Amino acid sequence: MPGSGEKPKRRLFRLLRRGARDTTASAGRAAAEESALWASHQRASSAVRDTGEAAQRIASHVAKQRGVVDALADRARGVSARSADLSAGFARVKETFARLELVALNAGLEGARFGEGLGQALGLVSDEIRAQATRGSEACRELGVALGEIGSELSQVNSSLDRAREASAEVAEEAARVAGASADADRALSEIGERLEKTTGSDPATARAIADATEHARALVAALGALRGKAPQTIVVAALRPVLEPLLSLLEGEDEAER
Amino acid sequence: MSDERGGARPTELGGVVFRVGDELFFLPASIAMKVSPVPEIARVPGGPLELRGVALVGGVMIPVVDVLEDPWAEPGGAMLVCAVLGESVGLVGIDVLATGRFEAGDRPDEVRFGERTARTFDLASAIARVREGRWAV
Repeated sequence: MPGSGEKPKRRLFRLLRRGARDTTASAGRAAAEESALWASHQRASSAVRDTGEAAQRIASHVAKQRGVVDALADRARGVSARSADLSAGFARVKETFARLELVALNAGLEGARFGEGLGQALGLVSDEIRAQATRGSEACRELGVALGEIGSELSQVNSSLDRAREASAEVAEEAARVAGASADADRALSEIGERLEKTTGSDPATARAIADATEHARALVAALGALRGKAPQTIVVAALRPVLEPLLSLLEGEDEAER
Repeated sequence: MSDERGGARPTELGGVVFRVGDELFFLPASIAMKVSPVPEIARVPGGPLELRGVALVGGVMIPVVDVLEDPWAEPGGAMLVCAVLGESVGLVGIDVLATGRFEAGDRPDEVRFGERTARTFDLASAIARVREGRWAV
């Protein structure tokens, strides 16, 4: 192993000087850029996957919503039909009251022919029946009007539900489009990843490991900087020796491989 | 109760009060026979406007006179069947308001109906208008 007799500090300086002279001096920057690129790629891939999953969830929810809207529309149509039946029923009841009113009018006319006594009694009964028939007829008319209003409201509800159904269909289409687009984007990102891997010779895991190692190295430098002037250098070097030896071995190993 | 057949004016008159447009009319119970729903009316070709047509009432074909004289208006409400000289005639275009005995009005041909007065309907004139109306045939 070259330089195995050197002191660790000198060996480290030698390696670092060579690294600085190396034509791939910009490799450090490039490695950082590469790492950032892979991180962005990972984030984009993750976002695209999330988008695709969200689009599928939206499509699923919209399908459920459409089912609910369809059920509501069926119910509204049923109630509307029932309301129409009731209106017809009220019309018949109203007609019956109108006939009853005519019966009362005829009873009053008969009473008028009888004169006082029986005629007066007949007249009173006639008036009472007529009053009640009129009230019943009026109540039927009001109920008919209320039912008509309910029918009108129901038709508005139906048209609103139709609009909601159309909107749901549009949302489902859009969700399918988004899912398709995110699948395309995912494929494109995979392709980009493959090409990036071929071009740089690295992969996301390596790039992440390099980024981690860089972070740790920065932390080590910062820690050493903090110790400057506070502890004698010999003590610091002695403390770092167990770490420096394997580090040097690793760096020299890679150095050899590069040669 | 006053005697309607006597010389003194009766205080009450029995019959029917109805409305034609905004006017109130009265027909005594001796003329007004019954109130019925407006039946199917068959138009008489060439008949005058006053004659709405003929209708089957109680198995008898009777003429139906439209007091509104509007051939295009649908006769709603009720028909008043009247007896005139032994014959029946139906009146439509009227709105029957009440039947029974009504307080006599200030004039002999009037009855009180609430705060208003109803004068006796001139049925003979209505029938005469039909007879004298312009027949196309």
